[in-house]
Amino acid sequence: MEKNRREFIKILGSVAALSFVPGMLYASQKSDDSKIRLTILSTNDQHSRLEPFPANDKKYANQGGYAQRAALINSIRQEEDNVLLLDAGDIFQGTPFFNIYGGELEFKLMSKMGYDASTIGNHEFDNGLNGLSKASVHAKFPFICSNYDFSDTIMKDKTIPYKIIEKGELKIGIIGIGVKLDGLVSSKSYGDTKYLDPIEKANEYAKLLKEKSCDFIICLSHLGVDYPSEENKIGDVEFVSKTRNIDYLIGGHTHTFMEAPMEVKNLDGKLVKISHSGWGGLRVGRLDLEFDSKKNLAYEPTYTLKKVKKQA
Amino acid sequence: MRKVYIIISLLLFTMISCNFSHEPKVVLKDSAQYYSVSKDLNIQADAEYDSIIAIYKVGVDSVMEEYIVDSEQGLSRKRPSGALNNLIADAMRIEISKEVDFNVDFAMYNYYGIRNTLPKGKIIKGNVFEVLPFENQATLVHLSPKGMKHLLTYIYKSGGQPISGLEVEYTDSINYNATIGGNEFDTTAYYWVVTSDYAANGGDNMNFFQESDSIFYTGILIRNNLLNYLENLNANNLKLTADTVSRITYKD
Repeated sequence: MEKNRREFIKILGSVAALSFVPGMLYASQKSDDSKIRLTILSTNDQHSRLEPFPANDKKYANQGGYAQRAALINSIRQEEDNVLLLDAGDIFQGTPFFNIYGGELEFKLMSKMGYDASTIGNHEFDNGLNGLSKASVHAKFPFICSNYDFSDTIMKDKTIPYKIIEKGELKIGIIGIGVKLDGLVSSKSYGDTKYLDPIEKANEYAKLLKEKSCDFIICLSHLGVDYPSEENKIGDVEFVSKTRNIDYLIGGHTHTFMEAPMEVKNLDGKLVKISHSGWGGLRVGRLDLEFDSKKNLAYEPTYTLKKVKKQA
Repeated sequence: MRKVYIIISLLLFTMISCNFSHEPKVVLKDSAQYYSVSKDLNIQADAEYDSIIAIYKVGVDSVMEEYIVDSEQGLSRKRPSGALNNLIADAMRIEISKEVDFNVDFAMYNYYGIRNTLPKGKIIKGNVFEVLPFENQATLVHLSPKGMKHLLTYIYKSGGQPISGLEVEYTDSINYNATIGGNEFDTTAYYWVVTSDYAANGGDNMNFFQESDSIFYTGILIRNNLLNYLENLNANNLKLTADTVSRITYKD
């Protein structure tokens, strides 16, 4: 019995030692070290500007260029552990590189820079679905399209409706919203692609990502910022006001330069940031976030206007 | 002893399952900024990217550096009417009439399909590609009187489109004086218009092209219309001159 008791204590000791480890982790999470940083970098409407704008360009002489951007991104990656690099579409069209190579080099170099995902802009259809399909083999990153149905086209299975990316201890959900094709893109170019309602699809997939316990949900949008004078044409501002569960919108299409992201209330009254980074690779948008475990928080984060609807 | 092992297993199970279930995280702070990608960043461009781009550039330049013509002025797009609008629409009407050996009544291109300016001085093929980067083909549409009416209203409402062979003075969106090929516009007639397949298929909401009895896709790129037009000027020892006369006007 005495032997048994000693053995018991020994075993108990090792259990205590084992359980002490997560205890330590828990304790350290309460300190400042527990904060998890995430850096989201974004571009939109690159329009095949592989080289910097030419020296005789009236507005943007010598600005932009993939090599310069790659260096910038690389330097940020050296400082930050958790970096997401995303694009909101219209990678194609605008310089003869596209006319000659059909987007091959754009996709190759974006893959090399470590893009995590892109959505599809209207100019991705410029060489038809065949042209996009042919170029897409050079992209090592996924195309996220939540409201284009390519199932009856050659692009079938070459896009995904959403993606979850794990960065450190974070789970990031991403959806992608495309602009209405009819009236913008030649029907010959988009073929049997079906355009689905952006609000309906965004709400559907963002909810799914929330249920899959994503900590932060990003929407890549190629709708354009806002069309206050055009009825029946939805932009990001209206889109955000009619959706929920999206935390951050990275937009494109309207070639909008911003000093700071816009903030728009969503369906739940929560402020959502909308960020556009000009065009032509002239800007790279950056959003830095600091997260902590929910259980460590004695208070609601201050950046929300109204209380965020409690998660189930 | 058995109890002990049960306790241990339970403890271990709890620890393992803790690791597998995701701990929800909340944003505490955020901050945003935009980098201007330029030399001001003080970051040396990545040489590896530069060299990959340079390799592809050889293929681009071998096509794009070809000399086309000299221009007296720089040409840009303008609304309601501008020198580059006029040039492109002229090239479409004149070159397609030659190609199909049939005089089309007028040409209309879409304003947003003009993507860059033409420089003063030497124009190379690459300049023309940047102005008209799209693989759009010239398309002939036999437009009905109703289609014509909608086209003229569209030009007004959109703030102007590149046209050639058609001139119009507007009082408002439905009251105007139009001439086609120098003759007064006949509201009861069908007209042959050359446009792009993009527009003929409803691009930029130009749905009126469907109000026609025939559409012919020529298979000839509009960019080639412009290239041929400019090359002809050069072959005749002419320089490009800007036609800045407005083809769309508004009555006060």
